[in-house]
Amino acid sequence: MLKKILLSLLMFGFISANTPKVILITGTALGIGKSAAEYLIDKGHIVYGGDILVEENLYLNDIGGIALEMDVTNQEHIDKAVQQIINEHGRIDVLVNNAGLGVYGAIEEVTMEDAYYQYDVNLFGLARVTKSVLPHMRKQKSGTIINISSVLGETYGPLAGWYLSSKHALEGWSDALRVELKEFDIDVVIVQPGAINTNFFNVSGSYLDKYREDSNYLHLYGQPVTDSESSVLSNQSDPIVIAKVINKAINARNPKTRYAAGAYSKLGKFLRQIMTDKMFDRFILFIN
Amino acid sequence: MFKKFIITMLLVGSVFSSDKQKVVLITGTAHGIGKSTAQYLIDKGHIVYGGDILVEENLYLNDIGGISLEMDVTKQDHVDNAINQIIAEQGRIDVLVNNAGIAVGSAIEDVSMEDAMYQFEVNLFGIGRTVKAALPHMRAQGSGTIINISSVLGKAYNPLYGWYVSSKHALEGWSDVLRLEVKQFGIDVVIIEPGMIKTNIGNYSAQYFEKYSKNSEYKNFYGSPDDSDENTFDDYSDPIVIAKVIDKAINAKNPKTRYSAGAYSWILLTMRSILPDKWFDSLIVKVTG
Repeated sequence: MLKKILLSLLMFGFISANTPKVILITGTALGIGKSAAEYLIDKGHIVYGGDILVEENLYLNDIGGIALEMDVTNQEHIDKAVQQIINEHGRIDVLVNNAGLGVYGAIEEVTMEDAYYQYDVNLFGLARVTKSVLPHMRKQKSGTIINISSVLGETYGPLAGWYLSSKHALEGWSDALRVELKEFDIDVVIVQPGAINTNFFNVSGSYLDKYREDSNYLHLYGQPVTDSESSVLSNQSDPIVIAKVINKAINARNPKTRYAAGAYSKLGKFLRQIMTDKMFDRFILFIN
Repeated sequence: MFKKFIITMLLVGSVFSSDKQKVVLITGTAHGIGKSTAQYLIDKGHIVYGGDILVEENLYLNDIGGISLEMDVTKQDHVDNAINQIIAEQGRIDVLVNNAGIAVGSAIEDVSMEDAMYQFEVNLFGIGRTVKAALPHMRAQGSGTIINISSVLGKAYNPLYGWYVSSKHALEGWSDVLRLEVKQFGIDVVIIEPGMIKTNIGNYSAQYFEKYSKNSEYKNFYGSPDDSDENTFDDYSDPIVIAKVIDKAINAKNPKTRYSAGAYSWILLTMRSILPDKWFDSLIVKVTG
């Protein structure tokens, strides 16, 4: 009996330290998701990567991962992806909710349709995947859910209202989820990237271009985004910074609730914390 | 010419002085904070339009000097009709109080996507719709006050209210940006963070608890049904507390960005801001569990 306990304890130690984890990452075709997939495959984990960009996602199959077609606004895609993982490995250890986009433009001028789409991906899409993974993690009594938020989940700036409200929503949602899942030994981790060199600014830039014309908020737009944000662009961090933080959270026995990383992330949060709203308003308008 | 100028100045002065009658639209006036605010502001002499989806319960407004409107904030034509009527009758809209809101309670995993989306449809997109309809008029006036009723749960959080919490967190960040964006037009954006208030919102979320608790894996959080029935809300604040804060924000020349009021609002916000996440987790589980 004692021998058996000792043996299983040893096994447990061995498993937790060395067995590859079964990981699902959403949005792996580009940016942070791609970097995280590459990094975690390199660390020996079994990585499934879902993306709506099927072609751009196929590289995964060549480097030891598994590419999935996955539009997080499509319930069928999600159910199929999770089912495939369970069929092939019988478990899912880590979910990295990374798929997201930034619908930029003045709040008044963004159409309700675009606003809905912002949420359908960044919050509801993420929830769909989480809800479909959770029954398996609860059964295992283990798991880690990593939600990629943003420094804008706790700070703000003009023309990013719909985007950053979806990230604020994600922060509170993840807080509640963490409390609810504690008894099942499932960890919920919020990652708050700062300015990262990804496709993000191309997409948000295309929304800015769409809404700049005929805008009543022209003074907030300034020059076309590629010029005006050049200082931000040149200071952007490489997505590997976030990949490493994700890896750290996955390996931590007791992960932090929030990890901020990348250019301006810690600074932005710190300034938001110490300044009054009106001071931060002036500051953020000034640097814009 | 000079006389005309003086008269204009007098008119302008009377229009902008603090005791001047304001044209106010409040959403969700049939019950609770919205009702209390409508009554209070009518009492102060303002012209108050009150919209609600509960048409019958909202008719009292017409008897006390307000104007009741049928208004489901999830319906674009309701919102457009309400704003058009106000502009047609008053030519302006000075204050918009975005108060209509619901709480979809239950564990995040349990709540269907349909119910989760409805939570946001009312609490965020409904506000977005109303604000987008009112803003062109406020920009044309070069003045206006938008008051968004958030919650202490716009900053804090607790289990079984994840979807509600996230809709209020969203509203907080959204309002921060809106404030930045409309400042140049002379429009103020104010966030109100009520604590525990004696309103209908608990009954509303209870219907979701009933729906989801039976087959839930989160039984520890739901507790027994008897517990909730015994809540007499003795320690909750009367909605008039929030009505007074709204009146204060409306009259302020330079309103604060955030007003918190009502039972537990200060303590919850303070604890949330000073405690590390994991400490707040333990605290909130102890308090609500």
